[in-house]
Amino acid sequence: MTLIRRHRNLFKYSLDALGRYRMRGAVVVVTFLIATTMISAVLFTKDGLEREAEYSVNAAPDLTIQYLKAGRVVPIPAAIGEVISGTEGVERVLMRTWGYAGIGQYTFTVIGLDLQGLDLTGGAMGAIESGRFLTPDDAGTRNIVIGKLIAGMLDLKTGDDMILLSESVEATRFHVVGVFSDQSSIYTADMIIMPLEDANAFFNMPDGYVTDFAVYTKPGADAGEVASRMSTIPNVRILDQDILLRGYKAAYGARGGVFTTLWTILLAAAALIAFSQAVVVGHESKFEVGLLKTFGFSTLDIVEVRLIESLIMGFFATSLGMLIGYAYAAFFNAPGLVDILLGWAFLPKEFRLPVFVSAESLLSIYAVTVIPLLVTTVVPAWLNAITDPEIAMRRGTA
Amino acid sequence: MIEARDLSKIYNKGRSNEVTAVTKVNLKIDGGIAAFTGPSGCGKTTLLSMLGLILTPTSGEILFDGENVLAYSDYWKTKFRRESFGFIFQHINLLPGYTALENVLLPLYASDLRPEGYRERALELLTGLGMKERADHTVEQLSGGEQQRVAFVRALVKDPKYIFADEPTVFVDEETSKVIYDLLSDLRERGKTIVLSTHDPELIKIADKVCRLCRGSLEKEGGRAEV
Amino acid sequence: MRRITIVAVLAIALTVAISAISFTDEAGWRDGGGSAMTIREVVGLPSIAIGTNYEGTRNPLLEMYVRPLYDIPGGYDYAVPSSFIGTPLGIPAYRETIPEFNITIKKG
Repeated sequence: MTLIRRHRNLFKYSLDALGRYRMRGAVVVVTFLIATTMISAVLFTKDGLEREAEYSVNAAPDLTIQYLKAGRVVPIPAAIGEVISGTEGVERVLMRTWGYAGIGQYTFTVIGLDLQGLDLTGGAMGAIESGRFLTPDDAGTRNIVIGKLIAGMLDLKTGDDMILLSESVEATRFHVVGVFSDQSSIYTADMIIMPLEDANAFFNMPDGYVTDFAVYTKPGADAGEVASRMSTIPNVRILDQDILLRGYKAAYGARGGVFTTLWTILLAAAALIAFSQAVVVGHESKFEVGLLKTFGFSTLDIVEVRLIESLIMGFFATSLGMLIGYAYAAFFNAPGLVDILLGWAFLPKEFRLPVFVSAESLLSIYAVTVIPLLVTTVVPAWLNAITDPEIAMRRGTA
Repeated sequence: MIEARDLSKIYNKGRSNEVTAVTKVNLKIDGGIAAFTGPSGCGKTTLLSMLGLILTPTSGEILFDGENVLAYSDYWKTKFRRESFGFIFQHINLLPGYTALENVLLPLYASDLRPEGYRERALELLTGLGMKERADHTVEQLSGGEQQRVAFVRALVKDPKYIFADEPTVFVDEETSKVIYDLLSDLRERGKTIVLSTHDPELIKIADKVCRLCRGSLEKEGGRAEV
Repeated sequence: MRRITIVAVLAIALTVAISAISFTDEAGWRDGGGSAMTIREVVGLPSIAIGTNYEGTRNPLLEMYVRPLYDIPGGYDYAVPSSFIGTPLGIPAYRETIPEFNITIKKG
């Protein structure tokens, strides 16, 4: 009981001290708040995008087969699909034709799917907001499903038609049968999905050629081993899920890394400000420590008092900053940040950034804020506490 | 009883700015009021601080009731101070931003006592020194004399056995000085041991033992009449 | 309650709040992300739109940090032909067994 009371007394004293050094506390808190708000918005968004990339890759084909000519990726003969299907461990091979289409100054991803080979029982409807997804009956009909980005830009809804200029510079009319949902925007926002035949015509693909193959391995089969069995097929490039994931992480890592670096520099500046504030109030603090030791505060008591002060300031500023950063990203789509991270020139207004508050990022942010603050306050206090009280007081009033 | 044996203090020992503040002082204080006097820079405050265990001597021993306290750890010395000492400083040394009452209760935060439980006693002591109406005023709102009264109450709130006072009347007015003289006499009657440094002849008059220092050494020691 | 005590209480409350969000997010990761997952399976490719192909919409400061992305859907070839990057170079089985494989790199 007495031990509890003793620590309660020290806690109360710490709060009083926080109230006394209000200006110093305010400067430290505001600086840390600004820095942690931005760094957490960047980190949580980056983590969210990386996590989505992981989800996406997990659901992606086990292997993606592309064709090389003179070292460049070119359309792949559809006939190779039969060779790939015959490889041990391969369950299913889907042809894909995909590329980019321009509308004004914007670019969208056009994906032609082999609807015969698709498993549509999985619930693609869950990603559709209005209308329907494509079915095998849509082959050759130029029916399309579009994402929110294009729907918003051209004010399209289910039942409307849109015209795109094809590769052969022909105006091609497409009919919108479905629009993707907000929830799937991270994947579908700039997407136009059409039957494979229509995509081949749109991109003026040579007969019997597609862009690539999506290969699904049998359960239990090792994708790497299956890939190595395909090594005898000339001029193919085989991408596994790791490669894809590394690619996405590199993109977000690079983009996120720029900002993380900048804001880490800001945090370092914040730590310096905290230190300089400690110096500014240093004399007063030295005197106070000397006085406290005279009255019987032990060295540990003084360390505890400063520790409590710093922990309260540090956690208050950092936690508040992280919550603001989280809200900025999760509820307001991080304006000013998201177009840089995603590279989109235009966002659908219903779009929601994937935001992920990873334990790793959380602890990292606390580590670069609270720990420097502790060091810049507790260490000087400890140094004064191990000095003779008379000398500490004298230095404090010097 | 407080006893000092061959007590010395050298600041910046071994450096070019080495200063010997106190040299081989031997004395005994057996209750009552002991006053250290002498010219400025003679080592009064240094000697007082060493006896109050807030300044580590360079050499020598300090005994309280026969126990050499310098042999003990900093933790133990701090504990001893907390439980047995009260301090009054020349520059008063109240914490700015706190009220008079809060300053008085400050020493209690170092202990496992309930500071709120000492509120009554603190107010009683402040009333005794004419400070009741000023108890909730911050330090900045008090005059020098009022601050010193508050400092006295702070030293006495835990009813310590030993009281160390460094030039307690140097920055205060005549009225406050008189209050201090009466207070110290009263404390002596109650069996407290008071050690103080002073130039004030009125304080020397009420002391039971006077020690005269010169250049860090004990020049003369005895009753006030002798010294 | 004194004002400064509110700061201490808030420090704890805010820390608990952000920790709770993190805990929920970490647990949610194991679920795999909900219904958006189905579109990933159906479409069959990792297609997070990570950048447009048109220079006018890119951030010029950022471009120097963007790396070639193997011409995967949603990415783009930028300055370096993507075939020079990727697993095939990293796995000896590819280098050594595929006839007439890209022989830009050949270990002596």
